Amino acid sequence: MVNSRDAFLERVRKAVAGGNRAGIVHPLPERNGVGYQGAGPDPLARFQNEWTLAGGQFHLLQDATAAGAKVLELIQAHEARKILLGNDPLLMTLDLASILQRHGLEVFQVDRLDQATSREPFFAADIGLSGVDYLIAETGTLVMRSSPDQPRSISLLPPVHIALAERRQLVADLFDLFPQLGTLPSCLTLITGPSKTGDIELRLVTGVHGPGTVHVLMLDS
Amino acid sequence: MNDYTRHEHHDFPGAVTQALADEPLQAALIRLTGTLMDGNRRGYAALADSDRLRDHAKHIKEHTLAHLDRYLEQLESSVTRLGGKVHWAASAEDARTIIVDIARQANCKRAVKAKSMTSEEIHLNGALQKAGLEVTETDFGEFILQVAGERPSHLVAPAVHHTRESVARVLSKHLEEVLPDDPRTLALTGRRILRQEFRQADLGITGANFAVAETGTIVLVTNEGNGRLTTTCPRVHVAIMGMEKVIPRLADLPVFLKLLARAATGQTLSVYTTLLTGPRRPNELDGPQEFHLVILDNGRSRILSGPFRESLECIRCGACLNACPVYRRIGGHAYGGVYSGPIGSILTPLYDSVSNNPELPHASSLCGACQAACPVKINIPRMLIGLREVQHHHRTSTGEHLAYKLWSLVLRKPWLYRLALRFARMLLGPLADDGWLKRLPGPGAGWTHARDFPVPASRSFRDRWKELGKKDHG
Amino acid sequence: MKVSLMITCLGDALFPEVGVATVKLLRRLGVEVDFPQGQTCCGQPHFNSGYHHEARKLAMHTIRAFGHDNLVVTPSGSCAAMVKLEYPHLFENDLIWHGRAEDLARRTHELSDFLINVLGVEDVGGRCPGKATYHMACHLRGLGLKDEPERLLRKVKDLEVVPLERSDECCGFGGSFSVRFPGISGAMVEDKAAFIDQSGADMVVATDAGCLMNIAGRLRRRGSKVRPMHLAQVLEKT
Repeated sequence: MVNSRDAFLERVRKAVAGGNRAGIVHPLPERNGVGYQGAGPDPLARFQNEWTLAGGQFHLLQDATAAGAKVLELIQAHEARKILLGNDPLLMTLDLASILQRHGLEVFQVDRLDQATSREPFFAADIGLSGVDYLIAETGTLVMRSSPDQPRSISLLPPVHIALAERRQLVADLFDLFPQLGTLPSCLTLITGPSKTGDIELRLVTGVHGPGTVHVLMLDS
Repeated sequence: MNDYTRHEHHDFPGAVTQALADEPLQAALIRLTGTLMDGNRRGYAALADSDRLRDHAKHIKEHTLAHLDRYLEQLESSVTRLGGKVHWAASAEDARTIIVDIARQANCKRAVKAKSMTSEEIHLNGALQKAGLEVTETDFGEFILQVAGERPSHLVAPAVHHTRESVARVLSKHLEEVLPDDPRTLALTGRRILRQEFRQADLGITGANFAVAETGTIVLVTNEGNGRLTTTCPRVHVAIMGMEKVIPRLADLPVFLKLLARAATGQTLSVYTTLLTGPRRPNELDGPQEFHLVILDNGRSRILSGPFRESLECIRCGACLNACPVYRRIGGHAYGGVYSGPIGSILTPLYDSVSNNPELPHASSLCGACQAACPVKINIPRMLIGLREVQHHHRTSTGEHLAYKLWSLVLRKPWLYRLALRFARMLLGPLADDGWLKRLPGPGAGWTHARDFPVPASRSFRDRWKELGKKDHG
Repeated sequence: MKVSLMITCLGDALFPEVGVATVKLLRRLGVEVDFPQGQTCCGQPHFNSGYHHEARKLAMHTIRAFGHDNLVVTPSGSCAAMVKLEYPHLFENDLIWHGRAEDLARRTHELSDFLINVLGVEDVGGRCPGKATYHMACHLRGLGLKDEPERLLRKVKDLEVVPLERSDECCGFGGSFSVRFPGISGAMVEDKAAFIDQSGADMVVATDAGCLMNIAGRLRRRGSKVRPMHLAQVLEKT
């Protein structure tokens, strides 16, 4: 008895052979730079422009202290109490966990959570606070790799996402991203603005179902 | 054997008449398609060499289809290496059985679904429900339709045929509470309801915009985030994809990503582009524990082997719908199938049957706006004409065939053609008012329903050539 | 330079004045024009309706009629598209006729394409007082033509060119489509005619007899005073 896999592939093989036309070859083409936009002379400005056009919020900060202050300011502005904190190197150097706890906020650090205890905080958090892995200037995009230190939920479940980034994480064009990725994580997400739907009369509503507000805090150091 | 069954025989002409008389639908369609087409034009214009990039994308697809078996094998190997499982579904029925089995074996009770035309194509929801699972559509537009018991009418905005009032009615009835017809409130209500579903679901079902053979990665392109939630919260993820969705290498992916969002809406990228490579890794706190990829044939291999292979290059962006002056006036439901618009006019006859869908290939003025908007430059007009030709093999409308044959004969004998012209002039001339006719008989009545028809000139051009002087080649 | 005129069946039977204007215009620009008498129809109606066997016969007839070496000029985007894009495709499996089809395809030009891209002229010395609005015929898209007709129009003296809303949207002709789907076709041509009336122009210009026939028929039905004009007729006026 032929198994379904082999029968399937055999049918495809026959169809490919049957439909391929004699003498006509279709090589896999090389792109040779076609479609490369780049980001112009000021990639940071380009990122800011595209990101805000897509509805994202952008803040440029001079140093770690300013960043910490801005995080607090935004948390207060959103009247948030429960913060889901990613285990990102940048966040750690800013010592955000202690700063937030000192201000009476309930902080869930992902490296203190496990399978059983993570569900509740993931769904209950008001704000997800994370780093990023890359930013793409051309498209105004954040790139995040999933890992034990950076779960998918952090940029997805809470209604507000705050992402800390550094200039050096910026790549000019979407085409620049992929050669840098190496081994792919289980989930690589490209985020271009807050979640949007226009399903009712094309009226734009943000926050259904991902975060409705996304802040990028860019450290200029 | 394919299973693209419709629930009832579809009366296309009747549906068209109904749609043309539906003023709110007309207004909604003009607004939607106008906005998205502006986006499409802006999107391509902002990409320096969009024309060449589209050619490049097309060549990647042509190459892939010409070696599809190889790439499917490579995809299987890549997915399996990472701990995912690949299933091969020859037909819609096979796909339903496979997915129900996966759900049973994993002991799943509640499924959430991201928007997937392929899952519509195989009528998945009913099969899962029959097997005892609760199934919830999570794309907000699709959720509205699920509650209303309707099908999507557009690829990007499936509930375009609804107004805020009708959405409020549908959701109010569902929740047994009165909701205001404000879009924001309605959408946030949807968020609230669906968040509970995401939390409780144990099975997430998506389609796949692309599947990268080299890395075993499936790609979801969405704007809401429900695709992400569907593949983050439940412990089992099933992705169902048409086999033509595979692309060779990771480096090929950004080519399509750059084109897809621009073609569909004019965005640089959709809000969320998610690359999923296998189930969750050790120590990750979220993501599925099991990943299953169901690869679907359901008539695609037949299309692959024939003259309509190009239709398999489609990346489901919806640009052709937005560009089409016919779609713009009749909307998606009129087409009667899962896929509508220009590409649907080709796919429905091919997936279902040409003889069941005699009207669709003719419901086009062949204007080519679809091809001009298509990110991979699919020559839709040529395939529509090809389907019209195929129809003649299935169905002999002897009257029409004879008429065209006779006409062709006359046109190949210049003296006969001149005679016929003189005859037409004699016949129609006296009926004309100032050179135009208000009523034509027979099939011509379709013309004069909306406009006057000119009678042949009293002297044709070739009559007048004589006095234009100069020599000619006889 | 010498060209052969492809008049098209619609041009010959319904709008001979377009052919006359085309010939006079070309001669004014120093181009000799001949008229191969054997020509009748390029076969597009048959091709579009799926009667490819008959379409091939008509294509062969047309290829024979234009068998000599001249460039071929036609005041019709749709016929030019048929010859240039579909003739080679119709004969792709035919060793002999494919070459002949490709040859004719190469030599054939729609009028505005010929004027701008072959003759290299934009100002054809025309004068046509009035206000014109321009409808873009669909087949120009497939031919890769973008703004050639408009560029020619803008150089015509005393002619004001005003914009037309959704000028590149199909007028709803599409050959048999117009009689098979009168509801949709009627809605399309009604929109087109309404936009034309709203433009404030006293004439609407197009490069195709099919479009003009369709639009003119609707304008008449609406009692519109806007005159339908072929591009050749406007350019020929002095």
